[in-house]
Amino acid sequence: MKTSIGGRNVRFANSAMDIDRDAPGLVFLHGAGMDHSMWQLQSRYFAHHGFRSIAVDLPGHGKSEGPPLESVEALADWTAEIIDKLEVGPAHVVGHSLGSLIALELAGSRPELVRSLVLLGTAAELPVNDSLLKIAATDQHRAGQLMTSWSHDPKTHRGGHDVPGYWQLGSSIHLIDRCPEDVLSTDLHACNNYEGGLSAAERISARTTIIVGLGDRMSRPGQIEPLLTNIADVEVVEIAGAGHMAMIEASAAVRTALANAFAHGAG
Amino acid sequence: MTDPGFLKFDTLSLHAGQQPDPTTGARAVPIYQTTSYCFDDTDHAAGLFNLEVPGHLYSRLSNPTVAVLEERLAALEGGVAAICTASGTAALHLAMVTLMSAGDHVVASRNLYGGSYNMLNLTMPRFGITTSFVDPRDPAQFAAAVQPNTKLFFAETLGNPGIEVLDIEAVANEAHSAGVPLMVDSTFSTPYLIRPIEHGADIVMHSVTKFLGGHGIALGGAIIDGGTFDWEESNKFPTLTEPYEGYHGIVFTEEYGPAALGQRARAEGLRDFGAAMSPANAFHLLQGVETLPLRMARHVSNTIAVVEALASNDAVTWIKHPHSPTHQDHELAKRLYPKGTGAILSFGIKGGRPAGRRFIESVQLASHLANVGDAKTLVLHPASTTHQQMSDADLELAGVGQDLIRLSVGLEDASDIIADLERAIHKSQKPIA
Repeated sequence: MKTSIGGRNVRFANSAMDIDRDAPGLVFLHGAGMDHSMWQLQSRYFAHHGFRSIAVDLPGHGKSEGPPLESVEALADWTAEIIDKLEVGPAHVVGHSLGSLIALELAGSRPELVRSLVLLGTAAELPVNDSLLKIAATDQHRAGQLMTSWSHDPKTHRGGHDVPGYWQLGSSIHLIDRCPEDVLSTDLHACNNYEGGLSAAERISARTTIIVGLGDRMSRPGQIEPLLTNIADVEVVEIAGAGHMAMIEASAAVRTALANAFAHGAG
Repeated sequence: MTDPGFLKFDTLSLHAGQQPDPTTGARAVPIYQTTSYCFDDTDHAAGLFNLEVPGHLYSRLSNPTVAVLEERLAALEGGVAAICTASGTAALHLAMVTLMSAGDHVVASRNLYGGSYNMLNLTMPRFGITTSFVDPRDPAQFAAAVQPNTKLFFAETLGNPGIEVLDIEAVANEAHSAGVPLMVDSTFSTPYLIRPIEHGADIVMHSVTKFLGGHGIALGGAIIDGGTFDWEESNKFPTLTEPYEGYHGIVFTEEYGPAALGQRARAEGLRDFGAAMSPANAFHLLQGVETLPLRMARHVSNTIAVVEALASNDAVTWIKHPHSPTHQDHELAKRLYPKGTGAILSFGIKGGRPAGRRFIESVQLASHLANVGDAKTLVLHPASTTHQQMSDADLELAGVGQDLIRLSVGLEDASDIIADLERAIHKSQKPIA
């Protein structure tokens, strides 16, 4: 499906479901160098289970027109525009990594648009290794390989995926390879430069769930402590055997966690 | 920081796609000899049927044992997903019917396995899909054969039986300029010798029956979706980019991104054409894949020894193997295949067709049969077997002379293979009593 924001085309997936205006909205926000398809094991399920499920391609990603936006704040403003444009607010907002910072900022700055908040692979700040920033600026493919390796649990490196025949590491690398050359670097700088996480956390009123892959080496589980201290209503769901990409590495556990989060956040 | 730290090829050959069985702790991949799977509840069943949740529902679509082999092949090729089929021929068919419909067109190498050639040249036209055959050594011929309805380029990484070496990148560039993907049959090379996706191919197919299995005891095929081709940008593939009523209007590219082809091939192609691999065959083939690196290295070293022995035999009139400096693709092979160009070669001996027949009937260690890629050395006279449906003119175009003998070099001691060949060549040169 397509819409436009600021005169630029935006792609989103709604699993070909006619939008029921009475159903609660649900917005999925992907991470750096990715696109909406990373949510395929959750977005289609909820689209067929009573939600107006919208998985977007951020600007410059997937089939959304660029350029990529350079700050988390700008991306949060863009997400607010999408929610308004598609009339899905207040929505359950689910974000991963860069997408989690966008969701965090959105929930702090536009609380009226957020029914509940779910954050995966997250922290109040997500500083990026200097070496990775440099590599991403000159060799996106190499940076994508490094991120793919680090963002998956060692168990995932051997495979055994829920989707028959699906090789997750290959999928991750090829997804990043599809980005225009400057996209991953821009995303990583947006993560690295964001300092508003704690401030946003203090302003969040929505019920918040943080899903932690215990094998996450990109945003280590202990890094969520400041968020737990500053968000008023927060719950943590830990998933063993998953790393930074829990929504794909442990798709069923994440679906269950999301269903519980949406149920608790419905009010 | 610069080494991603991925598991290496040899390790993936043993481990990719499998976790030890969570119920029993079984280290080996179990054979899940079942047609069907219990649902948790009606919602779970509905979710499986509507592609909302992953899992197995019926073994024509997927099976846990087969899935391990599929994921392992996808890992070894560096793709995003793989689908295994009942045979290599079924894999070619599955790829074609997933991408194309009546009225569409293929540009293919004219030097193909006879079964592939027959499917493209004789069978698929009955269903409205036609093919133009071109010289695989000339990428410009692929481009020149493109029609408005062309949807696919297809060639073998190493041609059968002349071992023409495909310049994958050059042909891929022509395919992409035409807005279509390149599919390669990499049966002769296996991912141990070359990973075509890294060279620009978009889809890889295999007869897993051959070197991947390596034992000649089980049939199987596979297509590996590279995840590299942008189906939406091309806008030539409505099966992937337009709503499909089979699953409530699903658009496969929108739902699955880089994995769209594989998902459609399974959800429609295996569902409706049904050429699924059996779990027992998947188990057998997995045993072969586990030792692929070790076997292929030995296949290659034995082949080099055989090529050099044949080259010094006065009764051998010609040899076609890229290791031979006289092979047309020798330099390209050195660039693309640093580990060697496989274990299939062809040669001719003095005395033409009668001598060829005497040679075939005189070998004792090598087996005369219609297969390649076995652990045992195999010989064949294609003009009277695999390529017999082709006219003399088409045989010449395909590089299959009347005197051509195809050899699949096995894993025996190289000196025993060479002794058997030399003895049979010697007998072939004796006058008929």
